[in-house]
Amino acid sequence: MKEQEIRHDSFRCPLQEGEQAAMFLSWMDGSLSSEEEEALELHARDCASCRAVIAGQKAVWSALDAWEPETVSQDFNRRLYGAIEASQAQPWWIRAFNAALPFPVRPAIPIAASCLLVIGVVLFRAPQPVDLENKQAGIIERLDVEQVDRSLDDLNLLRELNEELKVDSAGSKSL
Amino acid sequence: MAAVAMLEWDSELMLRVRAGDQASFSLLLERHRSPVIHFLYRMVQNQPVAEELAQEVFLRVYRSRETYEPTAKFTTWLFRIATHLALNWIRDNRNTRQQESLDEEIVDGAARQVSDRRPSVEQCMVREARMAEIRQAIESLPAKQRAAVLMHKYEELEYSQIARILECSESAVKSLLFRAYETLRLRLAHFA
Repeated sequence: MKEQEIRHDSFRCPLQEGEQAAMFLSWMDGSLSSEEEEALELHARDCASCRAVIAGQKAVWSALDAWEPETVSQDFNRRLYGAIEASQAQPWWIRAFNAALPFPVRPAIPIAASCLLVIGVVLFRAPQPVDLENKQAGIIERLDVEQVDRSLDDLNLLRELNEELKVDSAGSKSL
Repeated sequence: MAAVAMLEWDSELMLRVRAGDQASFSLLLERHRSPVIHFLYRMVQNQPVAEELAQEVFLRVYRSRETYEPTAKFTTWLFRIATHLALNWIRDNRNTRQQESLDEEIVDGAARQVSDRRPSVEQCMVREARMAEIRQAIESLPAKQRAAVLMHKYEELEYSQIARILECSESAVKSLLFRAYETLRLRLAHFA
């Protein structure tokens, strides 16, 4: 009796010690030692808050125990094996994708993953060998044509100017 | 000890399925079909939907047989798939469920008037009303708290297993559970 009183005195209220989650969950699981359980029950006689938690939790247990699940359909297995057969008939790449992903993922994730893959392939694709000689020859060729065009234009202008000058000088002579 | 042997047996069966043994898959299905369907039913509170989701769970288990590695308990892996599917379904159907629960309240109100004339029916109705209250209390919990309570109370999974399934720490699971039970204590106190 004296021992019990000592234990009761040294027991700290779990609600005031901030360890209510651990203590009460252990009590719910039945994982408290018999001494701890006894100490909690003794403490609850004097502590209205702990008494309310214990009584409330017992009410929750009894309510949840009363909630029975419904019976499973008779054709559950038949439907499942049908779905398995249908999945086996899918193309290999869909089966490989499904096998790699047992956990459901949101549609955004595969879409984002696909986009990243495409970007990755584009960015890190092996660079094509560049034919520098042909490239330079093309530039030179293009430059040459432009230069010739420009020179021909200049020549035409000079020719026209020369003819105009000739006409002007012939006119001044006749006067 | 028996529980450990059982868990090893599940993994063993799954490894046999990986090796192509169809009979082992049937055994796994028989052992885990009811717990998975019951868990999903309590999560989504709709039996046809729960069965559809359970079909998807076992289909995923079968499809992933070749990549299965017994790194964790089989039930952890199984309930992780089930929980992900249930959480996705709840997220996708949040608005529909709210609409349905409003309709259910109207039906309940109409039925109570009929029960006044028949005592035996009245008893059934009282029981049904209590069940509806329990279902609503569970449904009112945030989806992760709901999953944690159902796995803790009905499936008796360990905290470490629930933590792996919900992808959080054990202390986070304990905190989730304590808050969930706190809410339930407030809503179901009169059941004592």
